Amino acid sequence: MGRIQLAVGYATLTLAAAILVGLVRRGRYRLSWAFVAYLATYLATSGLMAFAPDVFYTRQFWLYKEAALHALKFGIALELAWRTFRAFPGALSTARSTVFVVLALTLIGVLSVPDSREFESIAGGVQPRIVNGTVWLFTSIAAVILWYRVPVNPFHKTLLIGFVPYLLVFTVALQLFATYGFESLAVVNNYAYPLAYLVVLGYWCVAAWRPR
Amino acid sequence: MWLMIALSALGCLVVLFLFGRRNERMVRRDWELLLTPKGDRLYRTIENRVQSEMALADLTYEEALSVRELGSMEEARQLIDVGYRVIEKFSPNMLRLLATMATFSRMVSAMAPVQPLRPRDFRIAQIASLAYLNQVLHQFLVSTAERYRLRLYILGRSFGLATRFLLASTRSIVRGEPEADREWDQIQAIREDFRTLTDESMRSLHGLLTSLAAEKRDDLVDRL
Repeated sequence: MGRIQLAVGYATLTLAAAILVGLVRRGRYRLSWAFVAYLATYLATSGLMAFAPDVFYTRQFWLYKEAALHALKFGIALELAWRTFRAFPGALSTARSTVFVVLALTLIGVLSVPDSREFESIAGGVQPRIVNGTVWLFTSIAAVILWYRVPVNPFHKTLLIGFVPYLLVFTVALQLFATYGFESLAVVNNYAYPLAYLVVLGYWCVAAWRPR
Repeated sequence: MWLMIALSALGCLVVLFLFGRRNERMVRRDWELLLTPKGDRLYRTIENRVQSEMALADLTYEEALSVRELGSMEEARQLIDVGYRVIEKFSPNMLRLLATMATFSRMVSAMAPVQPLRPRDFRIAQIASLAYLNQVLHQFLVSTAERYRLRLYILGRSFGLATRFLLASTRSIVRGEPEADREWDQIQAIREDFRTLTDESMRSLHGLLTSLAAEKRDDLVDRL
């Protein structure tokens, strides 16, 4: 790993830890259990990759890490939708249908990738579809909130606004990797989207520590 | 896949922009108004204000008609002009009210059933046509909420039409054009249609309040 890449990696770990502490300190951890789990998983897995690279800085471990984080991102979106709409039956019904459609389309997209255990196939074929599906999940929840004028918790709004642009950058990075190969786009994969993640972690850190 | 990513980016960023711009404090305030007796009182106030403005317009036009019968054409024209100014301020307020009602109607899980506008209640042919359209489209819509919003849309368009016709007739009378006598009858017809449109708007407002009253508000208030 290059020095800048290492520095960005340590910075993201520090910010993720700061967010967790901030959530506990300000009592916001109750607002999204899935987000707490997501941060904890990110800290654990990325920490292992950063501090024990010989063992954990491998493509296989990275795939497992990303799979866990994708699942938790879906969990964040679904928990956010449930917490926002549970008191609004009309909006909840629409949100439920919308989420179902998005999940179904994502599944179809994923299943359409030719079956392969190769890293390039999973990272460049399956992952962009999952990440794109997550983007649409967050966006469709935001659209239902807008349509029904449902009040949303400010921290949930921050999560939504933070995730979508970052996930779009991540999707582009993965697709570039699929099109041009991982090594040829090391700059994008090693710097661009980690920097994008750093920015969004900074945004969430400010929100987590904001006084209530 | 690139096309899908591009479309995703475009769609998502538009939604995100609108979502980010939203004033959460205003949204919460609107919900608090809706769910508490304060909201009830607020909408009764709106109803009284609307009725007062219509009464002021009616008074002005009645005075204009009386003065015209007495032969003071110049004074009658001035009063007609004043009457138009009252309607000119009144109409946008009604349009805003109808738009707000349409927004709030989305927040209601079950809207009370509504009837479409009746063409025979209107004297202006174009507004009666809109009422016919309301009746036809009403049959194609399934949910009461959609039918309610259609009704509000037709009311909004009708207010716009009536205001435009009133402007044309008022200008014709104020300029002393040859067909001015016919325009006086037209203004009478427009006034009656304005009254009908206002009554129908207030009926729609009562329908919204009734539907809100039927909502389980306690858990919604707690959520706020």
